[in-house]
Amino acid sequence: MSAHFSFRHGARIVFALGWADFILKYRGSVLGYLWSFLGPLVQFIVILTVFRPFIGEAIPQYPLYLFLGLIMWEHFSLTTSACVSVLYDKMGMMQKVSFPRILLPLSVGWTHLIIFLTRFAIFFLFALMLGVQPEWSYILLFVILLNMTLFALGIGMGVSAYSVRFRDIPHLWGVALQILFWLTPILYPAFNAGPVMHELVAMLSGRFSFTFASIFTTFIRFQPLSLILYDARRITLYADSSGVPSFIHIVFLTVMCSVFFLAGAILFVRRSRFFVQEY
Amino acid sequence: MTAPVLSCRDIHKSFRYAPVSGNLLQDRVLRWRHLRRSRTIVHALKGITLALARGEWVGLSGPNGTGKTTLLRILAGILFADGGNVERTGRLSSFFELGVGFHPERCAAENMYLHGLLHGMSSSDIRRETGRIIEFAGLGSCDRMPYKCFSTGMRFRMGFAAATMVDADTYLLDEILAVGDSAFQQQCWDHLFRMKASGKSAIIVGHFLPELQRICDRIVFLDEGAILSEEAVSSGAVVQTPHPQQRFLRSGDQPERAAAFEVVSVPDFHRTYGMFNFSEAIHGLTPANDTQVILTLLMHTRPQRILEIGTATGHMTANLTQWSRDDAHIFTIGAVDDLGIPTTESQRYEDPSRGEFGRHANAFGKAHKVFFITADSTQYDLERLAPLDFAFIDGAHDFDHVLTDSRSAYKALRSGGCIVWHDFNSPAPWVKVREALEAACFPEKIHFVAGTQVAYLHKAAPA
Repeated sequence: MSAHFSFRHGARIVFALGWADFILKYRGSVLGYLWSFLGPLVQFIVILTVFRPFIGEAIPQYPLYLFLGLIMWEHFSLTTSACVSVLYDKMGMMQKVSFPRILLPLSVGWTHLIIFLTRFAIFFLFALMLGVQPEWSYILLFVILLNMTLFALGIGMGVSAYSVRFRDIPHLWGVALQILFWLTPILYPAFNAGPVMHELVAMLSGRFSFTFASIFTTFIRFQPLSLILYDARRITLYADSSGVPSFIHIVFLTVMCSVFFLAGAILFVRRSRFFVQEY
Repeated sequence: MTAPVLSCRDIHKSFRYAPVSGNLLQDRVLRWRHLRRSRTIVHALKGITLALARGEWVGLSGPNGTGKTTLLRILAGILFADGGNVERTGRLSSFFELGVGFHPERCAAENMYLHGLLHGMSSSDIRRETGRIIEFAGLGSCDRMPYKCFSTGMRFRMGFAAATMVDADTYLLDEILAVGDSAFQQQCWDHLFRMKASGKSAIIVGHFLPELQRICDRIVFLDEGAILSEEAVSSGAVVQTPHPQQRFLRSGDQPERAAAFEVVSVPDFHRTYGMFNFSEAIHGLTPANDTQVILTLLMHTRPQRILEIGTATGHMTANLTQWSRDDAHIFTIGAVDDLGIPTTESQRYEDPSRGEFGRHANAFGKAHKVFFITADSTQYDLERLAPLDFAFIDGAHDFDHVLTDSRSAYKALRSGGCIVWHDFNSPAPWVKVREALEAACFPEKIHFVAGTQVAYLHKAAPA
C-alpha cells in the first residue's frame, strides 16, 4: 500500500489511534471509565456468589483466582470482538484513506491492553490487600501478557479477515465466545497436576484415549487460553505451590502465540485488499 | 517530457453485484436460486492508461458512474485492479472526502494529529502545521471546541486545510476543490495554485468543468469506464471548450464551433500589465485577487470614458473613481429593487434598495466622477455613452443579460478599448458568463486570468 508507512510510523499510528479510542470510549458518560469495571465486577460478584459454595473450597484464594480469570477472559473476548467491529466502525476511513489496514486491529489490541492493565492494577491491589506477596517471578507476567495479546490479536484478525465477506461471522463469533467461556478454566479449577510439558508428552506417548470426554478434557487443559490463564495464576497466586513456568515452557508458549498471531496477520493482510469492495 | 510520477496501464476493474444481499447465510440458503440468476457484473474500468508528469495537474471529468472515483481509488491503492498495473514514484496523498476520520468529540488539534498520521505525516510536521491550519481555516477561538460544535462552513474549511497540509509529491483529489464561502473559496484557489507552482502534481476528479479548467493542464473525459477524450488547458494555448451539451461526444461526432479563450497565469498577467498596489481598494462581492486584476487593467488602459454594469452598493464604482484619471467619467448602470426588473431569485441580492444603491461610491471622495444610471442594462442604449474606453461588466449573470450587455458594450467600445467581465467560471449554477461569451463569438481572443474569475478582451482596430 503506501510506501511511506514505515514500521515506526505504523507503530505511532497504532499508539495514537488506540489511545484516542480509549480516551473517547467513555467520554461524555457520567461514570466514564468506571463503566469498564462495572461489567466484570457484576459478573464477578454473581459468579462468586453462585459458585463459591461448590468450588471455592477446592481453590485457594478463589476470589482472586476468579477475578484474574475474568479480566483475562474479558480481554480476549473484547479484543477479538473489537477486531471484527473495527472494520465497520472505521468503514469511512477504510474507504477513503490509503493506509495499511492491519493498523486497525493492532490499535484495537492496544486499546484493550490499556483497559486490561488498569483492571490488572486493581487485581494487584486486591491481591496485596489479601496478603499476596509480590515475587521476582512477577517479571514473567510481562511475557504472559504479551502472549495473551498476541493470541487474542491473532484470533481476532483471523476471524475479522472474512467478517466483511460473510456477515454471519460476527454473530457466529459471539456464539463461539459463549462456548469458549465454558471451555476455559475461568471459574472452575484447571486440571493440570504437573508441568504442562510433562502432561503433554505423557498424553502423546500413548496414554491418550480418543473418547469424547478425553478430547473435551484435553482441549480444556491445553488450549492456549487455558495455558495463559494457568501461567498467569501460578505466577501471581500459586508460585509457592505450583512453581513458576520453566524457560522451555515460556518459549513454547511464546512460539505458539506468535504462530497464532502471524497466521492471523497474514490472513488479514491477504484479505484486507478486498475489504473496500466487499462493504 | 519528464518521467511520470504516477502512471497506470490498461487498468480493468469489475464489480459483481446482486440485487439481493448474499452476505448473510439466511439469504444464501433461502434465496440461492435468485442470487445465482440475478448476479450482474459491472465493468467499471475498461483498459484505462494514464500518466501524470511531475508538476502536471490533470482533471478527470465525466458523468456520474463512469469510473472516475474507482480509478482514483485504484491509483491511491485503496482498491486493487483486476488487470493492468499502477506505478507510483514519490509520496502520494489522496483525499476522497473532506474531514474523513474526524471524530465529533475531538478538538481540532486532536483530529488533525490523527488525520496527519494516517496520511503519512510525522508528528513534528503535524505539530508545526497545526497552528497554520487553524489560522488558514479561520477557526479562531473555536479550536479547543469539539468538532461536533463546528458549523458546516468551519468543518469544510478545516477539512480542506487538513487535506492540503499533507506534504506529498502527488495529490489525488476527489471533488475537493474550493469550498466554503466566496472569501474562503478564493483562499482555497490561492492555496491550490501555490501547490501547483511549487511543482506538486495532482489528479482531480470534478464535475464542474470550468473549475477543472481553472487549474488543470489537461482534462481527461471518462465515459462508461473508458477514456473518451483529452483536452490540453496549458497557459497561453487556445482551449477548445466543448459546449456543455456536447461535452461527452461519442467518437465520430463533430463538436460545434467553440469560442476561443486564452488562459493567462497571474505572473504572466502582471508581467504584461504591471503590478500596482491596491491594498486600499474596498470589496463588496468581488474578492481581493479579482479586484487586483480588474484595477490593473484599468491602470494599464488609463481610460477616460468608463462603463460599469452592475452598480450594486458601489464598492467597485469607488475603486474605479480612485484609480482612474482625474478627468475620467464613470457611467455606472444598475438595477434597484423597486424598478420591477424581472430577476431570478438567486440574483436578487444584486438589486439593492434605492437607499443602498451606490452607497459606497464616494468611499474615496471622488463620486463627482460618477454618472449613476438606474436601469435594466439590456434596455439601455449604450451607444449613448460611446465611445467607451473601458467597460466592466458585473451585472445580472444570466445568459441573456451577459450576452446582450457584452455585445452592446463591445459595440460602444472604441478600438483599443478593454472589456472586463467578472464571475467568469463562477461555480454558481445560475452564472452563465462563460456560456454567454462562447455564444457572443467576438473576433478577438478573450483572456481568462487563472486563479481568478476575471476575463478580458482588447478590441482590435477594424480590418
